[in-house]
Amino acid sequence: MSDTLVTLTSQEGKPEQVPRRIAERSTLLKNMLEDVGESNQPIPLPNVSHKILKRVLEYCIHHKDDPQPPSDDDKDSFDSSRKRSDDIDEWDQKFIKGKEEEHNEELFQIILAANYLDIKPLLDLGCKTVANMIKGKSPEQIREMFNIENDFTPEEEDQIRRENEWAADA
Amino acid sequence: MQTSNTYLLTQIFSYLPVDTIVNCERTCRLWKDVSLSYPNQIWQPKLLRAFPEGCAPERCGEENWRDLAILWGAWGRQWKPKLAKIDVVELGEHEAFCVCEGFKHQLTFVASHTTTNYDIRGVSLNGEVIYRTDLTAEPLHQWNVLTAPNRSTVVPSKPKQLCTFVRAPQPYPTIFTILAANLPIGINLSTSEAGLKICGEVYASYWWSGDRRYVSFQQGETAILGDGNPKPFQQSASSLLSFNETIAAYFKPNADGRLGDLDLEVIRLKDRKLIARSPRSLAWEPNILEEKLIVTGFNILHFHGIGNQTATTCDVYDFYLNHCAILTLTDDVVHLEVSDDGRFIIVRRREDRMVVFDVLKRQKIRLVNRQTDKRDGWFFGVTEYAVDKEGKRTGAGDSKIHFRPIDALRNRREKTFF
Repeated sequence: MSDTLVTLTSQEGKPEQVPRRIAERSTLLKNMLEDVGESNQPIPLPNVSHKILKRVLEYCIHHKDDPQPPSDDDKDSFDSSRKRSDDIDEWDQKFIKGKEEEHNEELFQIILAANYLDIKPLLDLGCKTVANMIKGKSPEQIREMFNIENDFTPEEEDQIRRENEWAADA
Repeated sequence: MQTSNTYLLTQIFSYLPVDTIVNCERTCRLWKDVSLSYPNQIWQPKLLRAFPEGCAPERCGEENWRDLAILWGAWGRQWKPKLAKIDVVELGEHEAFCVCEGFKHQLTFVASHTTTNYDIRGVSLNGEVIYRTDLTAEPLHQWNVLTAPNRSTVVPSKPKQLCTFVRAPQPYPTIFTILAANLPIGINLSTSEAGLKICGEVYASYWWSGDRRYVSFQQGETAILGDGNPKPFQQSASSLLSFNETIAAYFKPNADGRLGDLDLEVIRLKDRKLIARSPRSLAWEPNILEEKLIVTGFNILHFHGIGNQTATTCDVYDFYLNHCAILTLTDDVVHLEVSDDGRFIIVRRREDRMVVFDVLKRQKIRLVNRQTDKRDGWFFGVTEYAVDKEGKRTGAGDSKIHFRPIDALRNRREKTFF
């Protein structure tokens, strides 16, 4: 029944009750619920913190009436050549922006949760947002942004730079 | 910060433009590996987006989607000096081609041009045609003739003729010649017991005037070959060449093996497999050439040939489009072979020792303007080794590949090998 409540347990063991219809925005949860049938057992989500779970559910509630995204196979043929990162709607932009000071960390946690829970639209939203953050940035800026260690030797760096000259504007 | 999830990185990269992905590759080893490891997810879509619907390449050869996407993204930009060797050649009033060598690959663009623009209508990468469009369709890309990367003008050499025919029905006979170096987008020739049927446009010249132009033929219109005898093709229906098809024509010597009147046979290849051939050879004017002629896709022609061969000398020709230059190997050379895939030339001596030149890939032989004295572009990519009488290799030879100016090669051969 779509009106029944489902209990989700976060990483910290904190329960969160949501209507089944909302939970089923997640393909993972939808499949689990279909497999177990009617059950009051809480569903543990050891990879998702309570804070991120609440954020993910906030997204699912807002998008509860959206049509289900196409399956993986359909999706590949549908948009593999048309991927755009500038088509994020206003609510989604505000949602994903979150709090400025926690933006990057929370964004990545949301992406990981969306990936784990298999919520394609949210995963796409997160990836588009990260792509927009990266766009036009230099390697140094990207490293700084994501705290990435440069593990290339100077010689390797130089070689890669030369190999990629074709991709850069004159 | 979780930046090591391969799947997520692939997803993120798929939203990025080419230049930013390249910057991502430069951040760390993992990101570089991800970019290089998932070309179908990351790079192929970039390329598909660049082509008009239904025109995208369906396969990738030795090059990968990443290289191709980068090259594709580069052609609309102002290229850095010395980044690529670029040669734009005007073949005639309405045709031009540009050879661009750089990065790891060679791009050849074929364009029709007006007084203001080069309209790119065909592109090959490393000899494989990856895109072409009909002359009536929108060009894929335009270059302003004034701001095109580089240009030089040559006087086109005489194009090679594929066949001649008489247009019929006719108020009076008009003889056309289909030019090998100026093939139409597709060869629209079909079988008929009554004669050669042609439809669509072919680029042809009038027999007597040499005036070249596009000539339109209606579906099913019959043309009779120049001598009035039908020379039907097996190709059962008119169809455009797809990018992986080749029209090849080769000369067959007379039964007595002499270079007299030569026959020409035209074959159609798909992925180098024979799919159609002319059952009877076409009459052909005597010509100094006896080697095979390869025409690939959109006006792109490249073949090697021997001319003026005697017991001890021969001239080796290198043809590119309708441009001809002579690689003069004037002594001791008695035989030249081009392998089936067109990649090797073997020059042998009928003496105790022979020298074998393996030209690695035909696109490695660069085109230079014959009208100038510049020989910079004449490089043979060769491995050199000695062989015994039976043609077996003796010794290890050079394991490295050498790219030498042809003059240097000749000098070295004279001094070192003989």
